[in-house]
Amino acid sequence: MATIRRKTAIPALDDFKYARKNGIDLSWDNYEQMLPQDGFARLGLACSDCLMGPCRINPFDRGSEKTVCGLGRKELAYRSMMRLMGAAARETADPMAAILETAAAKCPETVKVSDGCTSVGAGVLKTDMINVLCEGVPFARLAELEKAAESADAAGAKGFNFVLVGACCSKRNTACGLANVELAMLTGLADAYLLGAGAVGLGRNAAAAYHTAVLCPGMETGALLKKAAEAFAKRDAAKIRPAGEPVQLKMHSLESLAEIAGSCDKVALFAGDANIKRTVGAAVIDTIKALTAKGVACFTFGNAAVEAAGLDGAVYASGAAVSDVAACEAIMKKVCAVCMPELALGGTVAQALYMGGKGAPVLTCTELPVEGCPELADALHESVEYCAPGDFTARALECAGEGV
Amino acid sequence: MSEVRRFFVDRRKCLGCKTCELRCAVARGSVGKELVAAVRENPLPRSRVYVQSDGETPAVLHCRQCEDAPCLSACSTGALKVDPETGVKYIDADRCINCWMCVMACPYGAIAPASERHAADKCDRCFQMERPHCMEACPTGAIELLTESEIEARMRELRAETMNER
Repeated sequence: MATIRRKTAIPALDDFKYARKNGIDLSWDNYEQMLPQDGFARLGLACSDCLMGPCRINPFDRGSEKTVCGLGRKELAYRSMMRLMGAAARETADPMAAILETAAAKCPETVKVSDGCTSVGAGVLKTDMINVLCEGVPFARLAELEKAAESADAAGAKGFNFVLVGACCSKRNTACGLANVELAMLTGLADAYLLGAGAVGLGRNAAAAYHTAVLCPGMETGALLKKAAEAFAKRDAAKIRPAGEPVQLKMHSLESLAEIAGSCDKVALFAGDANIKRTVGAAVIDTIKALTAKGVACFTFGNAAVEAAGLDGAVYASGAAVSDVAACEAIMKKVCAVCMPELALGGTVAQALYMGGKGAPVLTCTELPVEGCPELADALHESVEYCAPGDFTARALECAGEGV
Repeated sequence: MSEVRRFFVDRRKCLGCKTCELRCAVARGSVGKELVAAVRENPLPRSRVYVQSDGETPAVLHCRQCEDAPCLSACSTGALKVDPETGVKYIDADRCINCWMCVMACPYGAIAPASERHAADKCDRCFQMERPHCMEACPTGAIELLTESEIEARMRELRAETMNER
């Protein structure tokens, strides 16, 4: 790593030193190698939808206002947002309305979650079991795999241990957040890394330096479990490093959260992905600390729940999706801010836009690829407000009606 | 005066991505010095480096810092100056009267009539910095800043490579 900055909110200095000493490139290394990233794409002014391109509009060049096919800045920025959300762009006179409609369509009601308890931290990886890290894998598929694993050959291990990455629920343990998956892999205990369609996949970097098999949940179940067991048999004892004790995390159903919301004045929701362009987890942790100190209850979802695990005070985790809250009036009427500082995936961006469309004040410190068209960017910021990372906590406090 | 260094662009490495243009416009032409903020500025920032293509190969063009610079001779107000330390030709915007004589005199089209800023505008090689912004930004390392002897060495390498390929 060439730059000196805080990479992640969790204490990880020893991990970074270990990776450097052993020549393991982490995503932070790759990110720094990648710089400068494509400014046109960052502004939403690049398009590679057809082979007459790739096209781009120079934001500062008055002569390049259109793509080959005649798209202007607004249409190009609109298409960038639709592409990010995994949707096809359609001809429309109102790009912002089309973006919000698409976001809503991407946020269907998800599975019902229950109250319970889970463990969070790399310590959930077991030395005597086949550890399968699951990121972005649908819970229904995970349940299928767990059932099949009960009778599968475990290659001398005590069985299969399916753990989540970047999500938590009351039925399974969680190894780490989305950006810290590489650090969990440095334990040398990750035998398989299962990457679903909703995965960021930052663990690929470290997996390459270990015995870890990177697998797709679409594989045939028997073959998938066999690959994981084969990887376990190749585990290198010399590379195994101790992991700290996991944190116990109480999980809440939406009904429980509604009950909690009924007994407090204000609620802030925390959700989102991880984005290594920022200090991973810092905005979530700092803002939760500031808000709980002012008496605001903080409900955490998905990756934010993992990042906030272990924080004291009025912090309540749930395995639901943050967009599920929109249907729960008892919570929505108490929501003062929806904090989604780190965005990375289109699905999460859709959740942010959906919540914004429902009238909740949504904050992020991740730029969306529309800034090349100030007109569209301004319209979008009415749904999802951008704050500079250093201002995020102060802005969340303002939304809660509290001074810094 | 130290040995003059000039931009040397390895056209084999240039992808025509225009990252140098964006960086130049933001770092040297904008007030906020940040891409997203710069897009909203009025007047819009202007790049002093140009990426053009003949339809096949992209080419990066900066002010070539000519030794006997036509722009310098054409300027009647003394707005075009030479830095005594580096030999770099630059424009003193306060002295420029927008006559565009330098624009016409430049054989490379490297000087822009920036009427929105009431002065001609051209690359000054970021001469007060160790490494120019465009060079820092280039993702493939196509832009370098070399002395005459270094350029000669580079050309020798290039000739040797070409011969080996044959």
